[in-house]
Amino acid sequence: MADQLPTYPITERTCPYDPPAGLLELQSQAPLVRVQLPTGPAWLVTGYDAARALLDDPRMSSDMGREGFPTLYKQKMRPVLKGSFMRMDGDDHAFYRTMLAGEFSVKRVAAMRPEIEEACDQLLDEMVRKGPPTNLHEAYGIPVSSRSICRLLGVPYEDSEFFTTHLEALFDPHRAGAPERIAASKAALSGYLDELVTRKQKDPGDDMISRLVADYLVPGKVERPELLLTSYLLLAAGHETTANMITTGTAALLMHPEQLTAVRDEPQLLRGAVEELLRYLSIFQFGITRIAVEDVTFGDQTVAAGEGIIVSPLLGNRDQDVYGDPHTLDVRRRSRPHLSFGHGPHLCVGHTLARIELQIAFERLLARLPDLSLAVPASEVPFRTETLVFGTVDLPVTWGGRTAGASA
Amino acid sequence: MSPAAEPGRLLRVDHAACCRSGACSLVAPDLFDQGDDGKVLLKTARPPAHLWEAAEEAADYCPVSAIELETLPE
Repeated sequence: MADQLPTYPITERTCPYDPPAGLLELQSQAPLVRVQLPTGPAWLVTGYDAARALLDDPRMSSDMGREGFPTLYKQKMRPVLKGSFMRMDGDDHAFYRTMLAGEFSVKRVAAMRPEIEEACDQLLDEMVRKGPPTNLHEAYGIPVSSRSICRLLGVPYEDSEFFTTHLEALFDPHRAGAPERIAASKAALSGYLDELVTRKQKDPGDDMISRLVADYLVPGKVERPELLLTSYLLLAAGHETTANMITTGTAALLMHPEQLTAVRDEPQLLRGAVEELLRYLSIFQFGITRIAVEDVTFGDQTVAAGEGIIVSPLLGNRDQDVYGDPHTLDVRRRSRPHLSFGHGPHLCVGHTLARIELQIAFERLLARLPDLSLAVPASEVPFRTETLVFGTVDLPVTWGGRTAGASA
Repeated sequence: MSPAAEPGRLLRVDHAACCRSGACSLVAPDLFDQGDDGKVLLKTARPPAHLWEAAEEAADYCPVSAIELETLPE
């Protein structure tokens, strides 16, 4: 073993869909491997069982304000703000999750199905009206995600464009002038949410903000800034990931045509196909960070108190002890739950909504455009491998008898 | 009521541990529901044989291992 720790993240991929070779090499060493993050050494959790055990261990803290918390970027560490539930532990975390749980219950989310279906259909109408080729991310991935979020929050339809524009700006760090644009959009969205809360106080509707205002803000269980921060975090965490999964999931299906045919022709496969795409793509690629508040042992390895861990869903989801032939996309696979929404009490609060959105988005797309295909050769689809969220935001597609490459 | 001597499985949920994720009602809607607050509601503690697989799946999907499926002695 070399004295120097391997640096993390490792981003160089040969095949866009497979984990970097250097990362798989670490997986073969141990379920826990020491790596060097920009902020210092930490344990990379490479195995499925270890990931589940450590993410559901109360001795592993999410509190980013703790000294030595592992992060992927050098940043000034500040105490975690009230309402920033993703970075809280125990009862403090549970308070916010309880507040949000009913909003993301299976029943509540299922009730949103007709509206999400309608949004998908309208967007597909628009795509067909304009004709091919089109970038599926802009025409479908982004707007399906943002309209679903608007519905959840109770943002009126006429404001959805404003919403989409600013949400998108938050996640486009590659464009010129990005930091200013991001700051401006953050301010615009926060201001909008603030106004929305005022509006819902006067004129409540059947939506999340109205209920949180009535049940939590008015009785004084939360303060206004907390409610605003919590709502904002839901937007920030939910929008880009879902939009990206719609687009990158479609890309994966188009590049595995026998899989696409199966999903299109056998709609009963949809639920499993969405799980498999979430596993296979593992778009939240670098991982979930925690810090040990006591010594925690897994197998014969120990994470000492004060040491950080970073759980790699990308590796856990490709653990060959759990998934046979882990590097193959198989929409018929029936397997154990993947780690793409995390595990433990911090399991993505929006997983129910994300799952139903993805099921609807793929189902509607493939039913409406059964001969959907790439408008450029597969090798020309650009994948973002160095961003927090892996995937493609540029997916030129065509339909209506055109063949791949014809309209490129 | 099924006779006590019949072999079967017993489904248990730890309500205190339940983190309201809804994962169980999502994968096994015949066995689990959620209250308005998201908390797990067990529809039956003695699942019929054709739902044992769904019960196992739900137990595995629970992010905080709050579901247990016990095999009852014959």
